[in-house]
Amino acid sequence: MMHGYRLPAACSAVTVAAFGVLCVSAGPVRLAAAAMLLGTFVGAIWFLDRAQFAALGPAVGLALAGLILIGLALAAAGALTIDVIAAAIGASTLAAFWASTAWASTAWASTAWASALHPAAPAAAAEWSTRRKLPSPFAVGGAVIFATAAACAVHYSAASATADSDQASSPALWAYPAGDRLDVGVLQPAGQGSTSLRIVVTQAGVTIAVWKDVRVGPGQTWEAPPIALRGDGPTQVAAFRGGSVVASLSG
Amino acid sequence: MAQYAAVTQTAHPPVATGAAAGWQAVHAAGVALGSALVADGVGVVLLAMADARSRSGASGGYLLFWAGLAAIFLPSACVLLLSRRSREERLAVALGFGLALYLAKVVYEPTMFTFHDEFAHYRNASNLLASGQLFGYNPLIRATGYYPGLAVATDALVRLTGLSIYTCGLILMGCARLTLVAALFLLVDELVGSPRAAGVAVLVYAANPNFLYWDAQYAYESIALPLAILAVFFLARRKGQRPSRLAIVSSSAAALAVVPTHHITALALAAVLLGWAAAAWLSRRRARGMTIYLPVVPATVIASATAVWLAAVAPITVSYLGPVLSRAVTQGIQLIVDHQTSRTLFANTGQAVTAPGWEDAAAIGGTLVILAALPFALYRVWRADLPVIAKLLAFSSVAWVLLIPLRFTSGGQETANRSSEFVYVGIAASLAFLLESFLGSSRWKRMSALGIVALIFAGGIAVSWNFSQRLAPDYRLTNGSAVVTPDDDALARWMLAALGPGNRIATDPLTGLALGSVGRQNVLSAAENGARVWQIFYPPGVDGQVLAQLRQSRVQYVVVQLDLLDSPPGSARFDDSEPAADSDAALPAAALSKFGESAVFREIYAAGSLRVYRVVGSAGGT
Repeated sequence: MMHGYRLPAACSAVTVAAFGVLCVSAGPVRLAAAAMLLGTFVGAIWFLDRAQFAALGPAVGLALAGLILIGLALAAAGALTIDVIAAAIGASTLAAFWASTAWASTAWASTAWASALHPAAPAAAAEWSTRRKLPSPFAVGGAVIFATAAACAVHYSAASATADSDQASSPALWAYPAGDRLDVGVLQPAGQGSTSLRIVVTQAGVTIAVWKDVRVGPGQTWEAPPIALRGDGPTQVAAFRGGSVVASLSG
Repeated sequence: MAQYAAVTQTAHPPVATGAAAGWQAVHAAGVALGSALVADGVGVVLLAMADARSRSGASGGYLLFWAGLAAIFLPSACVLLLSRRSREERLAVALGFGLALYLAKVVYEPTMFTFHDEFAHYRNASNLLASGQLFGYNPLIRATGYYPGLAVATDALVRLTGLSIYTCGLILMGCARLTLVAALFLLVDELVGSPRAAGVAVLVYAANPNFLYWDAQYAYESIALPLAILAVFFLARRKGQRPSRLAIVSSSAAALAVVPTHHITALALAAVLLGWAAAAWLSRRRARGMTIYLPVVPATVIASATAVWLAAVAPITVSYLGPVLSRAVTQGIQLIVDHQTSRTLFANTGQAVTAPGWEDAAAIGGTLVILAALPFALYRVWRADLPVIAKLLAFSSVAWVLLIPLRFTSGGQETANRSSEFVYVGIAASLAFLLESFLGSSRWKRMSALGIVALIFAGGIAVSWNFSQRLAPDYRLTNGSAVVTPDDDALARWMLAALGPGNRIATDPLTGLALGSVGRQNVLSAAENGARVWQIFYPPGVDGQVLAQLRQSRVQYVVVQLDLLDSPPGSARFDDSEPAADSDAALPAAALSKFGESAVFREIYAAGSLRVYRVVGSAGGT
């Protein structure tokens, strides 16, 4: 009987540890803890169905449904925070692990268990003790190659899309009044090299500010110190590179 | 009964006995499965290359696209249709096939959301993350805000992992695709009793025009439909027996998650369960003594939950779906009574490039094959000793036939197209049952079955997405840009940071997608808030009509996309409900340059072809 409790106990420990780390960490550590917590959540549902391969898809689906229902309940209660979400998922995971363990240990349930969620399962899968058939090394190799190729394809695609996107981006110039001040700034797209700009601000035909040799690197933003406006006269802002106008604003 | 027995026998082909033969069989199965998965990987790489070439304006993308699809489809189809693999191996191949086709959408644009509805759902998730409150205002598609299932799942994932909405959306959609393929495979396997038929069903379902892109996008239907099929799978039993309590609870959980996630899927699921309960009740009355499961409790629970949600939370659904459906019905009736079509099939609607003739031929061929095969399939299903739900699903494919005429109408085309992902469940089940009887017999019949499924698949891909947008778009094309550009995205982020969220903005719909989602601005439109933004843009000067509309819609900012000057006449530029007289004429340059020449507007941002004007004085919404 003790043997039957080892797996749920170990999984419960992982769930509790993941929850604890998640609540106090940030960055990659938090990401790893979240992956572990969500992994045990799917695993707990999968174990409900004796961890058969065919039950993996439905387990993922039920985890999605669980995420929606838990999220909805927490949002309705105004409690959508990291700690509460993690606690709700962790509690659901522990409940699923121990409910399946307790139910499977009863004599009447053990024979009918395999057909509970997954009716077309082979009868042998009803028993936890049934030795799992190891997948063929060719199948495992194929899966690894698929995963690697997919990761490479997505990475390559992301890199090419980012490069194309950067190349197609334009420098941006802005100047908007905030009270009696004017906020002026420039953004240089990531795909274009560093540049040196001259920025001129005029109001009612009078130059009120000039910045020479404003250096902006790829993907960088430059913001001028706020300029005090004099009355309501129309302002013009122009950014020059050499003798040509890169962008201009009027109004 | 005899037919059912025959299906069961061919579905589980005998495997050679003895240790050596057993090892050989395992070895061969591993090689077949591994090869199919490797081919899936190769296919995804080819698709990524096709999109990269298209994005940079290079040639050859089209060939790579079809080569990638062939690499994904053919090896998987050979294993699923022709080989004698076990149930687990077939399921693994089907899952690899489904995931590889999902990745076709991912490599299309792997850095940000691309399709229209994705921006609307981004806004929902963004609203929820910012406020923690349900039902936030969504100016892009208001109705989606009242179906927060996808948004809460995304919110939970974003908060837990710290990843972006985009990355979490990709993960959720990948899980949804995995669920869809697994649930469909297991459902057909359970009902027909044949893993081979289940594999055929997955291949045929993947031919539905919305499988490749539409149902892979970050949108509520993409997650709701898999859960609906999963809910039906949990209840289905081979001889119509009663499922376990655990199965009923699991089914109810999946179905209840559908209700707050997507309106049409929830209605369709309620209809299927109610229809199943009614048909099972009639069958039980006819065959006294038989124990046929009546899904009365799940049907009642889901139908009630859907009705309550519609009435109490999302009554907006009626005004959202109503016009689309009524337009379809009206034009369908006109088609029957007057024999008048309002749409030409495969017509070029202003795109620079058109699909090659062979794609049109494949689309027509695939449709004709389904039309020809369905009567035989339904006859066999009717005669076979199959559970009530199997027959119900199979006969639901008749809806697809009935909706075909709507494709000849401009108003009904959307309805016909958007129903594909639902009615193809029935088509997949019917054709799987029919083709299953082919697959156990001679080699040429098996090859014919492969050819039929390949034609249906190619036809489905051919009509899946507008040809000119089937591969990733080139950002540098400026002929009335068909996508949200990097400049749009940069502007949206700047507006959110500099001006804050919730400003009322008049702009064109594409620029509005970025501003309404990433920028969290309130973009104005006739459908969502009654604004007539075209009255601001079309006049060549700032006249009384412009000023009146600025005041009426309380516009704070006008965002101008100068590339619209190159947009071809004939399609709406600023709003779907703008008068045809405006959209059918060329847009004069003065219509867009007037903002820079009037004292009513102050230009505050310029980048490439984008200009932002703040509305000042009494004309503005501030």
